[in-house]
Amino acid sequence: MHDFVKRLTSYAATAALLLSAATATLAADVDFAGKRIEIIISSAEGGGADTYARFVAAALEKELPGKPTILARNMTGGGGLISANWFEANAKPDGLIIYSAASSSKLSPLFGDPGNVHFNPNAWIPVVTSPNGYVVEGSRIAGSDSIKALLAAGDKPQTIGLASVLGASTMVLLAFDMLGVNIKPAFNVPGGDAQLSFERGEFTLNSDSAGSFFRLNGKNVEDGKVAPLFSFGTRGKNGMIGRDPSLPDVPSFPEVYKEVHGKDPSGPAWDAWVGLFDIISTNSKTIMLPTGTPDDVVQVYRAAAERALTNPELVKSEQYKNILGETPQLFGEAAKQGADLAAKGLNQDSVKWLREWHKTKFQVAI
Amino acid sequence: MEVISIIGSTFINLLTTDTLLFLILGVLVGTVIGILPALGTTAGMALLVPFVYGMEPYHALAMMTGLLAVVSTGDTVTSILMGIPGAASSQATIVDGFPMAKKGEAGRALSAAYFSSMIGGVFGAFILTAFLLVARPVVLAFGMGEQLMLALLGLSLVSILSGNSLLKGLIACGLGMTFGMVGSAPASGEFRMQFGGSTYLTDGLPLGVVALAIFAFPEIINLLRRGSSITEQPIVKGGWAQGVRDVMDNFWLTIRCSAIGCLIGALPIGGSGWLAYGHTVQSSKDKSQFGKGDVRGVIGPEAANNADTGGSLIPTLIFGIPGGGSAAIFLGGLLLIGFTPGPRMLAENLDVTYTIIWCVAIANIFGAGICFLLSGHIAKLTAIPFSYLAPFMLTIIMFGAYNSTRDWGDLIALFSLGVIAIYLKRFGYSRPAFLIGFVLQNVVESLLYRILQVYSLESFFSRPIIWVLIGIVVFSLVIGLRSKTKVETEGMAHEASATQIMPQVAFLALIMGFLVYSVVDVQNLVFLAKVLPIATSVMALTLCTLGMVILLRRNPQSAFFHDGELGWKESDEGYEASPFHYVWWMMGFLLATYLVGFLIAIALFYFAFMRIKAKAAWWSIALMAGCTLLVLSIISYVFLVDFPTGILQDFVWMPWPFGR
Repeated sequence: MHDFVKRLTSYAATAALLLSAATATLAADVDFAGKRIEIIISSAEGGGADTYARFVAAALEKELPGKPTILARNMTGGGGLISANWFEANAKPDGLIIYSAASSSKLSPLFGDPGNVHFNPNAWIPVVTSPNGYVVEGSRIAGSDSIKALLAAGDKPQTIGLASVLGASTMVLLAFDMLGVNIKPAFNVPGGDAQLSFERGEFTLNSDSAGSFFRLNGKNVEDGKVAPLFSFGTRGKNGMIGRDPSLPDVPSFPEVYKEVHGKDPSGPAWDAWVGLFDIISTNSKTIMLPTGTPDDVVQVYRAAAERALTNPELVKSEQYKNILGETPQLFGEAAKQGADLAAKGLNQDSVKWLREWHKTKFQVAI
Repeated sequence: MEVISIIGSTFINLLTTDTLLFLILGVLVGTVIGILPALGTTAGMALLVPFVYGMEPYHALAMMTGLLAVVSTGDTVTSILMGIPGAASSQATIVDGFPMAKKGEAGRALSAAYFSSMIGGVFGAFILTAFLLVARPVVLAFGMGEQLMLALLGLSLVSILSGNSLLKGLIACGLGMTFGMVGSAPASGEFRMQFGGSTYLTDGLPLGVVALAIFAFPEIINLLRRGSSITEQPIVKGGWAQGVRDVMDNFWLTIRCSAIGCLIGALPIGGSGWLAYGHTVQSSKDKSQFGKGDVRGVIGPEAANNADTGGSLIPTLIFGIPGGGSAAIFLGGLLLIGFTPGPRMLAENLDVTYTIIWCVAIANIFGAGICFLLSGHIAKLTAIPFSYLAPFMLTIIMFGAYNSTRDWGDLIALFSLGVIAIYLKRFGYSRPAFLIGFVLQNVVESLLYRILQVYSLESFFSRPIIWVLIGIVVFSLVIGLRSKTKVETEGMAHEASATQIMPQVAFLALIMGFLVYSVVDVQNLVFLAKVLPIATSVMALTLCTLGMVILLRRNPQSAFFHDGELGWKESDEGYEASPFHYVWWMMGFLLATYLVGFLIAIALFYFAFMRIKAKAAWWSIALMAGCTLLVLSIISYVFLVDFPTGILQDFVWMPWPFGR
């Protein structure tokens, strides 16, 4: 039944498209009344990416024409590969299956085994992109609560628990390496475990997304137990990476670099860092429509997403602050521009450089 | 004082407003989801989230907490009645719960389970209330080293769960650990033991699939072979009252196991049910009935797994960090309805925190009450002739396994591990030891790796709690090794064991072959990613070699000899078919799924099996198959589960739910 309806819609959509092409002036009516839309989520129920997708889906539901039901389908495994492959293979360009793409879907075509990657994330059509800020912090008990203290520690390595090998973790390590801090990571430590070990003083450093930073360490910062060292920063209107608007008092990484080395960052390490930044931070999470979705469906989705996520009542809510934070959302064309940055950001040279650097520095391949 | 008044006022608020109705609604949904096999907290929360969104926040809060608190009460049903683990938390319950059901004591086992669950759950809430504001230093005191010691304590339980042969228990544990290493290595993310490299195994074997394969698969085969109902004896009347008395007689055991559940729940280790089971056995004077249906073996783990839910809320509420999978989903739900659990909420919104705790306590009482009322009726299921129940149970384990990652790999893994489990059982290799090895391997390896990155030898051993825990581990080992009676979970061996050794030798040789494969496979990985797999495999290989020597010397006195299948025709179990007869049936089912898809294969299986084995009337088969398909379709629609399609669907378009 389900499938039958889907088929009918796609026929209807095609017919409508032909009609609109023929008459040119008559826009096809996109209406999702009575439909079930699926949002594919690449991670398990309960994590940050899952909460994000469900939050956006619930807001979107009310704004899409015909008020459809949006159901979440979590497809875990393969570091996001399984869901991305499934989306590419199964989503028809009718707006009935959408994908909450994490940055891993952009990283795996660059770093993953090509035999397992059967999708092209750069051909998907972004509806809304949610950038995400990241913060790195030190603690008082470990004596790691300022960059100065870290540099003074010399050869004594700083320790940190990182959620994965490739991802924001890589950027944290690269940033410390560029600053000249000796760091010894433990990989594949779930965020919660890393935070608790950090509070115990087992790990001397910790990194968080901006949202969880406020939730988990906001009070610790007030109590003087924890100090933010730097944020990754945010791309401003001028295209430069400046301070994260949600953390106006925390210097961004480029600022800290300039303070330590007396000049702006440059060179292959910096190119790689910025390339990763646009994939991981600027395009942290994106709601995607499949390749080839007709323009009218795209426009309807983009308009609905913008209405949904700029609703003043929602923006004021605790949920919005916790889940989307204060970094501006990228709608429509801005989302497209953001996606283009990510698509171009990391070239083959940088990928090669990162691989070699990571292997020599930490004996672990990415 | 202010705190006490908040505790009081939140309780009164909860009882006197319509919030209570939403709590009860959550409890009802949670109980049903819990009882339904293969659906757990994840499914329940996924079902609630669309509704809670936009609801009055306290109503949503009560509903979600109610659901969270009772799922582990409901999932006991299939564990006890059918030997099918409903969720990770109720695995240990099977060891004694299922034998009780076979003895006709299902009612007693269920009521003991629910009553101890209730006590455990309320105890968990009580601990939360009493210690919430001072628990922070306790959680922080259990660092990586302390957690490692607790995991080792779990592994030490193998010494009492090995049955007659400790050697075999250790081999089973080593084998379980080796299977646990499939997937990416904590130290480097490199993939291990991919068996030719499909994406299915990159995240390792799902625990749900392994537990079903190891426990449920061989039991179902054996039940089929016996061809009778689950109970071998008439159902004992008035079991429910006895169950309550059992818990009251073992009140302090219940409390101690609740405390264990609470502590383990608060730490990211897992396996609280097993630790509680181990404690129950170790602290009991008469150990002879464990594994054969001792009610204490049900009480301990059940008290622990409901207390575990309360415990897992400790880090959630204090630090904003979920203590486990279901707490993570709960946390996500809280964020969606606009609460921000963590240090700030604890400091500024204590009423929210205590509302959650009260909801846990009240939900446990309601949940246990509902299950309790049902238990007498549910227990009657065990008297249904098995050939009627079998297709249904098979559907459950297939669906349960498939629901783990919703990949064909789930079904293949279930089947392959299930066949291994049949032999583990046949030759007396403790399956609980296998599962404990599987569960704790990842914990031990991750913690060891982190400790190596962070601690020096000196700083590690300067932590006093580590020494205390080392003492407890040693103590537990000594008790386990010295105790004369061991928990025998794999049944009795047969006389001919010592003379016909070829099957045993062949199986052991296969285990050794697998262990050698695991060593060869990890050769090229970085040091930290291969050191533990190699160490484990080499140790297990040494033990296997020792076992092989014993076997080949044909010393009939050795406990290492064990073959439960020689002479199965004459055995008092009353088997009517050879061990492999029904494995072929299941193989047929898999093949049919491959050809025509899951749902059509189920229908075909019902007709073939019930016609041939049960000689059932056509209409009754049609009715049962129809009902099963209806339930599965509803689940498919509500929870967005697509069932595996077959080759047929590639060529012929079929309407939902048969095709995609």
